[in-house]
Amino acid sequence: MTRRTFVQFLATLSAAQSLGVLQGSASCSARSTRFRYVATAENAIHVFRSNTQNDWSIVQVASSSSPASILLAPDQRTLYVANAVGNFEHRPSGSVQVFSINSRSGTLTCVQRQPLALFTIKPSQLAISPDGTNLAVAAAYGTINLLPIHKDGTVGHVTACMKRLSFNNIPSHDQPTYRQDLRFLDNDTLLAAEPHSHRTIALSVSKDGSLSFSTHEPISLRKHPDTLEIAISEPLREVADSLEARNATKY
Amino acid sequence: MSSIVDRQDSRFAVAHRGHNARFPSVAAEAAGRVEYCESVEDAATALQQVINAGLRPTVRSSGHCYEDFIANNPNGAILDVSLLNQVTSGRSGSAPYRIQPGAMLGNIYQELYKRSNVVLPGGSCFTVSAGGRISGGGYGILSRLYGITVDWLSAVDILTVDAAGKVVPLHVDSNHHPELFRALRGGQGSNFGLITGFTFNQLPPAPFEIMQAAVSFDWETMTPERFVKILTTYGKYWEENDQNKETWGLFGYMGITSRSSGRFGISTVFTNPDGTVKDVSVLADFLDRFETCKPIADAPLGYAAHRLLGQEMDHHFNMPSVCYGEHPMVRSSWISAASEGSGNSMSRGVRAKYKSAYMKKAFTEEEALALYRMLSDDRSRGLVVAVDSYGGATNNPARARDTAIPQRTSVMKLQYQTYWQDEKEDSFRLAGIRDTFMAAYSTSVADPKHIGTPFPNDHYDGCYMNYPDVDMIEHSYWPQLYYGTGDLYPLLQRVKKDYDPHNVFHHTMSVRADV
Repeated sequence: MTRRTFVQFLATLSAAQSLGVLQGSASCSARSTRFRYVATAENAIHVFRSNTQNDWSIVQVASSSSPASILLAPDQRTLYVANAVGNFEHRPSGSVQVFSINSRSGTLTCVQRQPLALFTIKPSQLAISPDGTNLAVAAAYGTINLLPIHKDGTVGHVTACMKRLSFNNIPSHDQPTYRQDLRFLDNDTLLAAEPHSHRTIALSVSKDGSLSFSTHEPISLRKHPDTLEIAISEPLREVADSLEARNATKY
Repeated sequence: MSSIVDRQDSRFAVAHRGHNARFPSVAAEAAGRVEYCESVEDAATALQQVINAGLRPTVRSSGHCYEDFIANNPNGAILDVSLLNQVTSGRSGSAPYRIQPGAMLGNIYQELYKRSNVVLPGGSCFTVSAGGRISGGGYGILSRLYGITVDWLSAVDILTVDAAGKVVPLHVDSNHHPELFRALRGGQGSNFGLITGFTFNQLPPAPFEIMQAAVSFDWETMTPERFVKILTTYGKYWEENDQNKETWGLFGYMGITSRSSGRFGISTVFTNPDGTVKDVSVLADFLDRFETCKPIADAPLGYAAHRLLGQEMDHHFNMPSVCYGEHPMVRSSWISAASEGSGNSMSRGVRAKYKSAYMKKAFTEEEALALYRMLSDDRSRGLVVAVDSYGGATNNPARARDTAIPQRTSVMKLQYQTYWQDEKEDSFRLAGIRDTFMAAYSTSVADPKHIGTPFPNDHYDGCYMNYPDVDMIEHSYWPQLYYGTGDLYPLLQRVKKDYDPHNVFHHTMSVRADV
């Protein structure tokens, strides 16, 4: 498969099935590797290997339940997958899958599937702290979970579950499943976009795995129209400054 | 202002746990703090602050929840209302009677007796508090005579959380928020909000006196035939006398312990409908039926060893056994008997698991033999199947329409219980109770499409929500097991959507909103 056909493959999947086809290499660092990981609504993650600059071949189709978001660990040894399900092991929760990556072949082996907190359903976004010790999960109706990442890449039990209540995140048939932007500002601060708004909330991450709001009110934000990157508005810069978020400007 | 116990507080180790030591099952599931609310205003303020902080609140009155509904709350907040424990009446002991959620059952009996000589038809566990007990139904030794606690409930004060995330206090009764009121009459407050008070405009008179008696049977000499005879005799009595009002003052408790316990028995509490025990012919007739079952005269060696670490065990087994051919009975005042039940044997540090089943008819021979096989096996070591007699006044069909307890044609309610202390025994104990339950509800009287459960049919009537069992959620039809196959669960779903639009109040078996 050439780069062109690979891109066509993604486009076909996306257009024909209205799928959120996700590249595990969405972060910049993953693009330098020889592998690409593509989640589809066919309950699978496709693993592609780049043999040459323009030649891609599929090396594995790994089973995964409703993968909605995939994310490579900073060391690229582990792939995290958000399973956008409403029930796991008969309980009302979504889950996160942890795949180990074969460094030579790029193939995946599922080593863990961890439930999220009760009624943290249909998770749609993942984020890993810069130091690789915490995994944040954003789920339907504005729920956010935090899980510790162990040295072997597996994750622990959910240590915190947060949700800001507003008219915008009442469960309803009318609301489509949305993706809630989520990223760490630094190891101690997590930013999460509010559902159906242009506002973002900042959360403090404590050493014991708890979460708390850094600011009382959400911050107005705008997305860049052409990218997934968050554009920081002036109010957030002020907040970021107040949080002494050293890396704020890199966004 | 509420008193906050956080993880740095020396009280936290005790405060974040309930009575069942299994929960939280891992440290990460523990709440981040416990807030003891001293007033209704405290509770409202604390709830709003918790919501504003983006945390999940779970509400605790006495901490007797059988499952992890409160304790499993990662970094959340437990709002403890045990200090909201007032029991009040009108002038000179008149109605209305108001009970706050933290009031313990034993204190409620005392207060109502001293103030007004009335009684709440509740249970026999002194330390269980009103919040969970009442909103989840509330059976007890007077239920055949007076019905279930929620049958008498007139109004509920509750804090709900609206779509804007604001705490809203509501006073609900049959005229104000009637669907929520019905939901709170057995559908558990934990689904809808934080209950701050219950109101009863009328309660039945307290009995003057009661008579207690017991029979027991030796496992060592037990045969399948005798076992079947005991169970079928017991069940037939309640089935045949469901509508016999003369018997409604008789409550029976059959504690079928496993063979390793040495023996099992039947305890009774009796009063006549006039509140006296001048005539005990009903009780004597009941006991006579077991003569052919050869109840033992004397306790076998090692009898004390079978006292299990279990709820109600002390209360039920601290009575003299009946000698064959005669019926020693213990007479006492109602209030002393009602207040003596310690009810705290499910003490902190004890691990426990429960299951339940309503029965509409007596045990069949096949069912009894299934229980015999399982309880004779060492796999069920430590298990007790408590078979409570109900029916009578609990089976008022009108109450099926205005409460959230739909089981109004049953005659017995079974509670499977097992208690242990060592975490290493978890797998063994859980397997024992699960296997026994599966065997009991896999006979020919079980619904073929719902084998392994007491799914409502001619013989069974599902399970009791105040004895929750998370194993049941493996079945897609678990709401029907607890809330019946009629219109109740859809109503609860509507109420959930209307009064808890954000699903703030949730747990593993909470009502799923209809969205």
